[in-house]
Amino acid sequence: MEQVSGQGGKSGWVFNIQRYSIQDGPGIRTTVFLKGCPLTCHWCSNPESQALHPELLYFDTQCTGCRKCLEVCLNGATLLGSDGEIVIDRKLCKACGVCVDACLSDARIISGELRAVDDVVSVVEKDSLFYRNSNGGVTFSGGEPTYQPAFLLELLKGCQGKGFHTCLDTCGYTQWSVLEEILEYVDLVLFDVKHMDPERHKKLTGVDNRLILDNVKQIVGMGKKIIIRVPLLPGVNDSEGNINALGNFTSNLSIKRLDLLPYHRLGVKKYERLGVDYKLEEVPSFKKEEVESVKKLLTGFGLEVDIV
Amino acid sequence: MDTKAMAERINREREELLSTAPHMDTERVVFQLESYKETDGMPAELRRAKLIEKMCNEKTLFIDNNPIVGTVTKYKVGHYPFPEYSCRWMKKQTEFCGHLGSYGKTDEDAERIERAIEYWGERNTYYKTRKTVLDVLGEDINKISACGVWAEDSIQAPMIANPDYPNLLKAGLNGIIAEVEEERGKLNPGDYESFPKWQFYNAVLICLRAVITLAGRYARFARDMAENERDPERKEELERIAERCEWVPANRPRTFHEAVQFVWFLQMISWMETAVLTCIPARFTQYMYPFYKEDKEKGIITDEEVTQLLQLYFIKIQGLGEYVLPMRTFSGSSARLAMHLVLGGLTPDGKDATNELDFLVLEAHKRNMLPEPLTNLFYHNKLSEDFLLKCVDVIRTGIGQPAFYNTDVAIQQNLFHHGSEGITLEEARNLTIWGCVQNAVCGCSDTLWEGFFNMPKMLELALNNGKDPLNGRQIGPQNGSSFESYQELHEAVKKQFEHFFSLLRSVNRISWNVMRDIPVPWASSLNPECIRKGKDLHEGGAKYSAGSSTVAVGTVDLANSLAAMKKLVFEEKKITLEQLKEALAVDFKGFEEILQMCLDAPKYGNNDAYTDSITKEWYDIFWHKHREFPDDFLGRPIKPEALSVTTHAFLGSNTGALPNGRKARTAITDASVSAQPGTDTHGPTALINSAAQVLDCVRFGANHFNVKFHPSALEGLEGARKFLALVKTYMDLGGYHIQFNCVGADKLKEAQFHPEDYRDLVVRVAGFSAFFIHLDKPLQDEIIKRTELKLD
Repeated sequence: MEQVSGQGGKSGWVFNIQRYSIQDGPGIRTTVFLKGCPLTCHWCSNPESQALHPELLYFDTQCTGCRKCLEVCLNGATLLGSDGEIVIDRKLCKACGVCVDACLSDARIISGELRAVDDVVSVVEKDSLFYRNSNGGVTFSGGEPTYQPAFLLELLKGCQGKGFHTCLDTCGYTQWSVLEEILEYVDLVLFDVKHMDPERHKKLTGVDNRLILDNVKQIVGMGKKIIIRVPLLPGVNDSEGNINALGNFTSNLSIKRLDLLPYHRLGVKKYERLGVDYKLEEVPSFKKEEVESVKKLLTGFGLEVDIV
Repeated sequence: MDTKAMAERINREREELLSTAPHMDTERVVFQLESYKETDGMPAELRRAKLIEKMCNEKTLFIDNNPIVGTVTKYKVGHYPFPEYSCRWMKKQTEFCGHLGSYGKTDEDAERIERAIEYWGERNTYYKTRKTVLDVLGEDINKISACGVWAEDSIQAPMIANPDYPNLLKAGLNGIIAEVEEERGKLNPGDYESFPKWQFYNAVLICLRAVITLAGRYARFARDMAENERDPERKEELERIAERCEWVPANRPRTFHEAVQFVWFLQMISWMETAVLTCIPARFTQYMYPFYKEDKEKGIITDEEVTQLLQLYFIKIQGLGEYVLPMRTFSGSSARLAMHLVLGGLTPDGKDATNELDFLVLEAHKRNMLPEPLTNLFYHNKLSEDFLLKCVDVIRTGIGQPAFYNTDVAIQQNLFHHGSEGITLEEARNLTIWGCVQNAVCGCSDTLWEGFFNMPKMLELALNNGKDPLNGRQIGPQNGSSFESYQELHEAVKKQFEHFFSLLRSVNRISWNVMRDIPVPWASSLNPECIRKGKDLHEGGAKYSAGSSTVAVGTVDLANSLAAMKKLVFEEKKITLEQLKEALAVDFKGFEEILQMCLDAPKYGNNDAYTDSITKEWYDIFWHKHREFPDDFLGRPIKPEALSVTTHAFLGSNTGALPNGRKARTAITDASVSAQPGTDTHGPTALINSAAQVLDCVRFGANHFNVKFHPSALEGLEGARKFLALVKTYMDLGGYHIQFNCVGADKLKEAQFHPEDYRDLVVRVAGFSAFFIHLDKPLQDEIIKRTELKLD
């Protein structure tokens, strides 16, 4: 499947296009979520975004137990469990979607659809007056949008060509030469920094953070607008040491703005739906004061800090 | 009284209002029977005036703890029956119902109602209309409305008062009396044309004088109470009340408080004359501003005191009501008084009209958290940022107000519809909302409305060759029973539509002529053009009509149903017409697969041309049909409408299952460009794009658009700004009405039980967004908890 997305970037894997996005950059935006990510963050709230190929999501709460899916499955991937419950063998499932059409209660959804650049741009274009009235635009997110570089490049060209403000929401784990070419068509970068310590970073996300932090420097060097985004996890990356390191790193680069995204568990259920284990151990929810104290610490570095 | 003690008193008044069971007050019925006996043989307008006089002279009075005095009935929360418009249904009701719910019927009430029915049984306007229609058109309107083709409550409601407040406040009723006497003095009753005018003026004078008398009775009542009052503070307050009632509404108010009392008297008397929607506060913040400003300059009132007075005034309004047709209470608490108060808008010379009172009204509304008066914002690009943010602040409470209306579109409507009558730009800018969401020129328009028309019923009839499948009656023309193509189906639906549309227009024109038997001299006395012309509102006394012709309800259900059939039966051929009809006949029982296909078919409100174009096509068909028949019963231009009030529930109760997946006898889609519940899955921008283009808001009298929002979308200043950009875009695209129902915790709890109605509800949290119904129970509970916190 991966070769399909490489067809000169004319089409690629998209798992969602969300209109009226109000937290992914300035103004009213349309966020295009691209599938596939080189990282495997334990807390990811969009686990269906990690693999590049389409996947079946199964909502057990919606299931009425009619067993239509059992009848139609072409690959023997939908089975009955020992208590008569529906079980999906993920190794056999090809996410062909036959069961989705058969399901009478919307309990099955395929995440990931191959879409053409023109098709995506035409959806983005529908809200152009909303962008104009709010200084909004389009945001590419994921997954990791740069994971499908040719497709992303065409999408960005298409949207900028229509005059829309473009925003890239990235984890930054991409070869600089690839990223550099993409950035030419990006107005604002939302850049995730998960942890300052390379070891911890690797443990939490599966990859080292050196390439990521180098890329931040490069982006700043080319004078591109950037906002650092930090998913804040209690007991994981909110230690004073890490926050100080973050503050130093950011302010030394003269970056002005940093957003804090306090951890929530809203994505937990998706893991079950995908048949994937949730790796993050039980993490307590943040108290407002705790987030505020992190904010205060960072503000001390001269940063403008928003909690989103 | 200090403001803290007053705040406590306001809370008590509010609590009492909400906890008091409404009473039916049959005093009016008795006055009416007596008065009609005494006035037998007199012309209709005099009989109506004499009834008002009798009520003003004899009605039971009381004064409670609200410093604004006067109640319509003898109860704090009491409702009158109005048997002159229709009454036989009252006999069938085991318990009486008002907009606040049911109230017990005493034996005395039952006996009085019985007597009223005896008198009005064949004299009421509904009966007379039904009889005339049967004679002239050979159709029984009872039978047709029982099949859910229309909600004909228009046959049972008169024209309403739309007072010229600025002039009334300036002149006082004494000033109006002098004006009427002068006009009357010019007439020679021996002259053919002058005689009816002379009679009209006599009726108007009786009403105006009677109302001053009633205010005097309240003044004496307050003085008597003061005499026996031991608490010096209350004694003082009662004396002030007496002074105010001795002065207004006879004279120009001397203070802001007197002006509020003045306006309330006008409203109260109007609800004694006719009830339902009448004498709306309209541009309250405009005509009250001079009094506010005077008091502020004199330093005799503070903004806090004004806010509290507004709260007390709004509590008075919320206590209004009538003993209504079961049809109107059909959707329970959503039945409303529709006492519209408008904010914002423009001055006659096109400047932003907003003033301090606009802010204070919002503040009072936010504190009261009562549905009435309905606050409406006439939105335009000159409104200030702080005022708009104040509006967002009220919307966040979940009260669903203020509703937003497009000033530019409303002005265009007025210029377009009243151009031939010579409307000026200044008049066109003087906007108010009345009824549901319709626009009227303030102070000089009358208001009439025709029937609410069930659009999806036309498809149901077409699929059954003109027979209503719910009761087997052949009510429509025959159109054949098999359709080879989508076009054939379309033509069949159109045939049913054209038949019933023409019929309904004819019925309503007859009904408004019948209504002339019950003139409204009091409401007419508040309208300067009626006085100038010497004509009652029912005779065309007003300068313009804000009238609504036939009202389209459920067009979205019709379009979604046609789209589902087009796709499933004619294009993809997944099911046959016969299979679909079979499934509809049994309300999809045993046909779950077909139901799912119907629900999955394209739906209006997703910015998708497939269904949006069908919706637009039907609104166009509606418009063009209306153009063949563009006038009201007085030969004046009248607008076609698309809105629902609460009739979607009533009409739905007599409509079977539809191909859009809607189950039999459930409500059809509300408003006119809202999405079928739970089907707008592409977010508010997609819905707005659809809504703004399917209906021409200048040609129609209104569009009607309700949008559900989770409060997460309105968080903080950023959230508010983006929300306002959303509103602006809707207006820029030519939309007219939009109302945001910020879904509070209670609604979210409902969504847990009825996920099918909330499939569109998106919860927005940074970096993540999800459909509420897709979250599991503990997470839903977490969101509910969040929501409750946010609203505190």
